[in-house]
Amino acid sequence: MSSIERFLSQPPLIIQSSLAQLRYLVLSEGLPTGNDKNIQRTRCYTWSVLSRTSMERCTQIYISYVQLGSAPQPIYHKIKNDTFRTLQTDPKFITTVSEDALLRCLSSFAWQCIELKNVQDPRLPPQLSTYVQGMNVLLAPLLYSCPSEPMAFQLFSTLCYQIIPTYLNSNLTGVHNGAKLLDICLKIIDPKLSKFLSDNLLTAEIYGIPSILTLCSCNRPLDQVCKLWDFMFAYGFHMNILFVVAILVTIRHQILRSESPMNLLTRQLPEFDADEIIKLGVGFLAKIPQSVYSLLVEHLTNLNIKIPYNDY
Amino acid sequence: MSIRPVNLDEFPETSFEDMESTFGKINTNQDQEPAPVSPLGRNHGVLPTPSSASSNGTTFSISKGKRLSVGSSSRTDEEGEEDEDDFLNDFQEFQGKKDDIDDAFKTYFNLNDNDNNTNNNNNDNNNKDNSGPRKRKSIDFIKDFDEKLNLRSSRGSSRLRQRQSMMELKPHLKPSSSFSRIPNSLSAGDLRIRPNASVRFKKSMPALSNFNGMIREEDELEDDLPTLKRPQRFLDNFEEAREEEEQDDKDFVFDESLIQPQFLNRAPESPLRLSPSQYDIIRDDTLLTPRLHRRHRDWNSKDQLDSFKERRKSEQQQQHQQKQRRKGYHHHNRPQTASRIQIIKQEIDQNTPIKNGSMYYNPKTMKWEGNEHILDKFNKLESQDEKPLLIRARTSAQEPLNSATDGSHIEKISKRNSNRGKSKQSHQRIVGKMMFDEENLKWVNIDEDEEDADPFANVEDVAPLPTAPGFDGAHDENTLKAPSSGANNNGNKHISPFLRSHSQILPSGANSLDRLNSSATTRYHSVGFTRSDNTNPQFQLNSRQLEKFWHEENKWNRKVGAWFIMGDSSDAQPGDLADFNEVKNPRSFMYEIRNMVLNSTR
Repeated sequence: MSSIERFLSQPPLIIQSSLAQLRYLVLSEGLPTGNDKNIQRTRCYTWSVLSRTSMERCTQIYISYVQLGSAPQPIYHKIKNDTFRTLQTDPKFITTVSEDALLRCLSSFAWQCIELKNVQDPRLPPQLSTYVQGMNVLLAPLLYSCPSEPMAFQLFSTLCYQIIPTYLNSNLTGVHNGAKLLDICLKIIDPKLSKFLSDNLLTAEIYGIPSILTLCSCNRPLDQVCKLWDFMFAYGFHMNILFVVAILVTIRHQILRSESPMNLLTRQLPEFDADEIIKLGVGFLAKIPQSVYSLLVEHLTNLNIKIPYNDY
Repeated sequence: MSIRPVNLDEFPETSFEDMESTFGKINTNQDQEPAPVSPLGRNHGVLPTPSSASSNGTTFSISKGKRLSVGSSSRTDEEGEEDEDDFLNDFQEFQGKKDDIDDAFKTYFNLNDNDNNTNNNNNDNNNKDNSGPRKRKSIDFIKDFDEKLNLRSSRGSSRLRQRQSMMELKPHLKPSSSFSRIPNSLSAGDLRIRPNASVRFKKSMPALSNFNGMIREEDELEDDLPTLKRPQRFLDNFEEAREEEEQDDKDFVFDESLIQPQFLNRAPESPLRLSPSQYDIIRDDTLLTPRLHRRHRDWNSKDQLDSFKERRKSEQQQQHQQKQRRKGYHHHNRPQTASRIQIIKQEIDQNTPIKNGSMYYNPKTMKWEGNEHILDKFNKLESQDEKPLLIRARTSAQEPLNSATDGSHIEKISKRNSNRGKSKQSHQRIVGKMMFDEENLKWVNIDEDEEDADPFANVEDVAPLPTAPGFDGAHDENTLKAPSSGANNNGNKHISPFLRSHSQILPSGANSLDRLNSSATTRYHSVGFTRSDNTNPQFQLNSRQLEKFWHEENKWNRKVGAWFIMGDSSDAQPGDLADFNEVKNPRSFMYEIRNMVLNSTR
């Protein structure tokens, strides 16, 4: 029983301080990887606690959406078009998560979006798309790491609606802002690489969108993705931009030497090590100015931010 | 009574009185009547009495009454000689009894004739009054009391002699009362019974008489048995003996009467000393066990067995026939029960596997094997989910291809919906006055055309599900329908019959439910959304999945439920973004890592 498991099993006295302790535990000790049931549960519980996602009634809610069946036809068609190729290169994922689960969760999410559209609540986040390409990949680590579909769905809902709502609107506003921020961060952290890529007309809009949108879950291996997510659930998914930068930095030699860096970056990125990426990404924080960092934090939830793209 | 102790004193002395010692004492005390006297006395005593008894027959009373006076006179004579020692009085009594048996019996007879108590009292009074000397009185008293004792003990029986006979005969002769009354009377006595008494009382052969009696009684009992032949032989023998005994009886009858008082006075210790052994023998051998044994013996004897032979033969023949029909096997002289036992046998030979149809017996595991595949269907529960939950009758003959080719109920339903108009006309299931409404899956009365008012018309829907009207605009051909009544009102007619009750479709916005309610107590056997335009079996969750879901949720609740405020669904539902209320706080943790880094680097 890891210390995180033990910590989770104890009811917190003061939630905020306990959450801080839990974050630090995730940072310092980390969670084990794998798709063993207990590991799944520990990770799922950790994520649910860190993201303040209550699994209360999650099964009931999920079943109610599943009962609605597949999502409305154009949506379902798009979903169906993507689910079958979700992380097909990862055998671990394939054996763990069925396409049906992806279909059900994505359809349920679509139903949820449709439902929430009708709720007139000013506090509601910006309208999300019922489905955008990449949601399937975004959902993949959750289904992979959660012991049951309803919990994965609940976490996915939290992620989409509360953590990265700007990413998933119809225009993918947050993603594009993130791409800009990625360029800015890369320029700050690794000017040489940034210049090389820009010289090759490779902006983040071209190569960074998938990693930004899917919060790095499109990268391999999935277990390392989960580790990244552990950290990001703890300290914020804005770190994803810095992690993408870190991944680029780790392969900068390949990129710089590559004849066609475009092919290297727009296709499958090489496998990464989460601990290394986290170390690098956290290390970058010292170089990131406060303003940029605030933008990083804000771009996930705030549609109306102005990225001073040309200033950097 | 002062006399009691005397009696008590007598008893121990009498207890010491063996035959020889008493005679010895008698000799010492009474020189005139030496040892030979006692045997002679017996003999002599016996001799005169039979004459009277035999002659008088049943009329003892008269003779006894006469003798009483004689006895009293004789006593006085004898007792006068015995004045010397009180100590010897007991012996004198004894002697007197033995010597003057006649006198003693005279008194007894007198007593017997009249009422016992009154006679005794009278006698006592008479004795006291008549006899002047105390010794005589005392002796009389003693004698009287001896008599009394004897008489009292024998009070139940009317006559002394009978009493004695009863003493010995009782154990084995229960119906003896009839003959005991008339033991010596030739006229009334039974030939069978009489010899018992007569022979026994022969003094020359006391042991034989006793044994004979015993045997005879058994024989008598045996006489009752119809199958026995022996008793007849015995009876024949005894009939001869009876004749002899009858002759002897005339002489011996009074011997019995004379001897009887002695036995009665000290019944347990008779001078002959044969009584205890007799009792033992009688009780042990002749009464109980011999009879039983005899019977067995009798049954085992060939003659007895022969009586049963015919029956058994017939039975055996039947058995033979049955067995020969089966296997020709038969065994001799065995009753049917034995054969039944033999039929039972162990059917499974432990070494050889036995086949029965497709089943094989595995001797190692001691189990039958071969039908394990039956259990396989339980492993294919998922595939079973594809089967329709509701089995419906084939609605129309136009659709056989549809139902046959594709097992999916959904297409069937859609087809039927399209064909509904036709099928309604052509194929309406009508039973009696009831018609089956296939759309609503209910039976409707034909006569009542008007539709029943919706009983739930006034009930608001608990949770309107996304009807997606706005969505309909964007994505046109919306057959989409949330299975709510609202959707129904929109004009989409078909609601999946496979949808469970509406209450199961919980609105995501139903925040009022607390966690306890959320923990599932209900079991969904299978939940799926089947629509005319939806052929996806992926959206039907089987029971195993649902069970897993509930299980995991409950587990989460136990493990980390404490991290969340009960009933605080703000975290659960993205719609209620409580985080928006506290705008800064939820984002604050995102600066935490930077602050850490900056603090560390500084």
